[in-house]
Amino acid sequence: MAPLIEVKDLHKAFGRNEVLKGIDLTVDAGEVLCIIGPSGCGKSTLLRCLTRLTEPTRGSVRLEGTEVTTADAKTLSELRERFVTVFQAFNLFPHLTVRRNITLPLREVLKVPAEEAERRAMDVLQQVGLQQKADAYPGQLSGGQQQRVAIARALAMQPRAILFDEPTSALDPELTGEVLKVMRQLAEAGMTMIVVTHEMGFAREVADCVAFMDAGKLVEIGPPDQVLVNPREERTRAFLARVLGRQ
Amino acid sequence: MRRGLLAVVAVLATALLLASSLGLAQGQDPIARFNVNPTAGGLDTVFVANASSSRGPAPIVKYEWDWEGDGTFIEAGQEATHQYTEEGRYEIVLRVTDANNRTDDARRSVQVGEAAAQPAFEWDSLWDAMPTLLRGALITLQLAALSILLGLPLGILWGLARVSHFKVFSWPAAVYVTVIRGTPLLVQVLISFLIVRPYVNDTFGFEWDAFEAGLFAFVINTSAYQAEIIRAGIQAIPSGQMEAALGMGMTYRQAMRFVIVPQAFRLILPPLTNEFIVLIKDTSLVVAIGMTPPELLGSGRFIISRTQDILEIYVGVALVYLVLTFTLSRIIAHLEKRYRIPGLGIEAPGGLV
Repeated sequence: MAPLIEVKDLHKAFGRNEVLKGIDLTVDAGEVLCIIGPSGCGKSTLLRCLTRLTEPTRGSVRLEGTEVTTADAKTLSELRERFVTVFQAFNLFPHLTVRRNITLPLREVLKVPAEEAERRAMDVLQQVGLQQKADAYPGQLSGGQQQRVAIARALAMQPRAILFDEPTSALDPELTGEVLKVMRQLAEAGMTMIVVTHEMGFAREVADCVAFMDAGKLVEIGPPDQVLVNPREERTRAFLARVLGRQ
Repeated sequence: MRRGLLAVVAVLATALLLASSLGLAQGQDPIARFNVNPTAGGLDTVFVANASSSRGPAPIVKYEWDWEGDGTFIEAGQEATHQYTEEGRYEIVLRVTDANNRTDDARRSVQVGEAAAQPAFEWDSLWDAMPTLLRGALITLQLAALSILLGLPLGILWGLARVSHFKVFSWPAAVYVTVIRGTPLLVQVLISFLIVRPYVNDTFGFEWDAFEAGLFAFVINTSAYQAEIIRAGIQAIPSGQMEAALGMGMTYRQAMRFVIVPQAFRLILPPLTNEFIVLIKDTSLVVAIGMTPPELLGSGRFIISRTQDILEIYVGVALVYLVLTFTLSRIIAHLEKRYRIPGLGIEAPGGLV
């Protein structure tokens, strides 16, 4: 069976600044991949290139066998319905209630009937423990709650995979726990996830596979026990020493 | 949101209808006008009144003068003289009658002997002027409402052109805004009246008068300012909003319609209100091109030319402008409150504005 996500020799340059220098990666259905690495190493750019929120310079990305880099607008929209991104800044729509945030893409993109959309919204809100906040506006929620709504919004699309771009980096430490808990549940339920993160504990516990990136390249990729506990590469070791020393 | 916009449009349209249905024409009456020289003197002074500035559609055939302001008119010529026998302040009334037997009055005051204390604010003068001022206010309202109605779509188009990625759109929009915003509105009004109006009348057979020329200048002017307001509103929406919308498979159009525009609309309401208020006040600039029938300020100046009640009339004019702008700002403040996003931003303190 073809992998769900397949990246080959992916490059991205902003002007003369090369951010991705040839990335190769595969993710199978049901797999959880955590991407770690120092700030500015290109991990967020990599994630955004997967659905062309950032336009890659060259290389190939295949989602369920469909080439992303050459897809037309319609195909791209369809791919983004199935591979949804959750952002560091949540990016909920502040002028809409929590409920409407979730039903809007269902109604407008997936053309789900109103009642069905409503049902799905309450369903996913229950999964993230926020059904009582359905009629609140995003500005009335804490950061942790907002991110859980953003996850619920992605989940309601019933995607093939969810791409997390540093989902807890904008949160106070005491709020990261509730978000990670929801993500852990998703992983247990078999959702395919790519998570760009600084949460080493989460990566070690939940990931099937951890990739360490540095300076636009995948330095080391493997099971968490290998990459996080017994890294083969000197750069990985140095990074972990810095990060874990601080934590 | 659509219902709210409709409400605004309905209010404007009603005002417009009202303005146009109340026969705005001033009729065919002659206009009485005179000056008196000197305006102060003693019992030995000969006061000379001259009515040569009176005019009318039909020739004026009779000039009657009431020197004491007591209702006794004496027929005399265009010029008349009088000497008082008692000290005091007198109101001179001139009544002109034209060939069609239509009449008009004009008033001026003279001081004979020691001037009494500075005359107090006379509410009666203001009260008497009100009907004329309100007729003028209707013209002002008509001019402002039409400028907004025609200027807003144009402003939206220029604003969208301004944020366009295509230089063929954004460049002309930038030039337009720079030129219009960088030149005085009064100059634009004069150019519109003295150059554009005769040109379009000759070339396209239009029948533009001062009203249309003023309207043209205001539409052009306000659309440039509105373009900037709309550009700022759209650009103030965080880029993450567009990303999140596109990231879930929405098209660019869907993202604009459901995510960007509803948020930008709320952001631009306060500066847009400001622009509308400025516009209402700026319509007074058409006094420079002499509109008939006159708008609010023009009406005030017309009354002053006959009664000299500078204080009362200008205060009255200012009050009516205030009522117009205050009403508008209340309507929009109501909209703002209604479309406020809960939990977002600081709640505005309750107040007049």
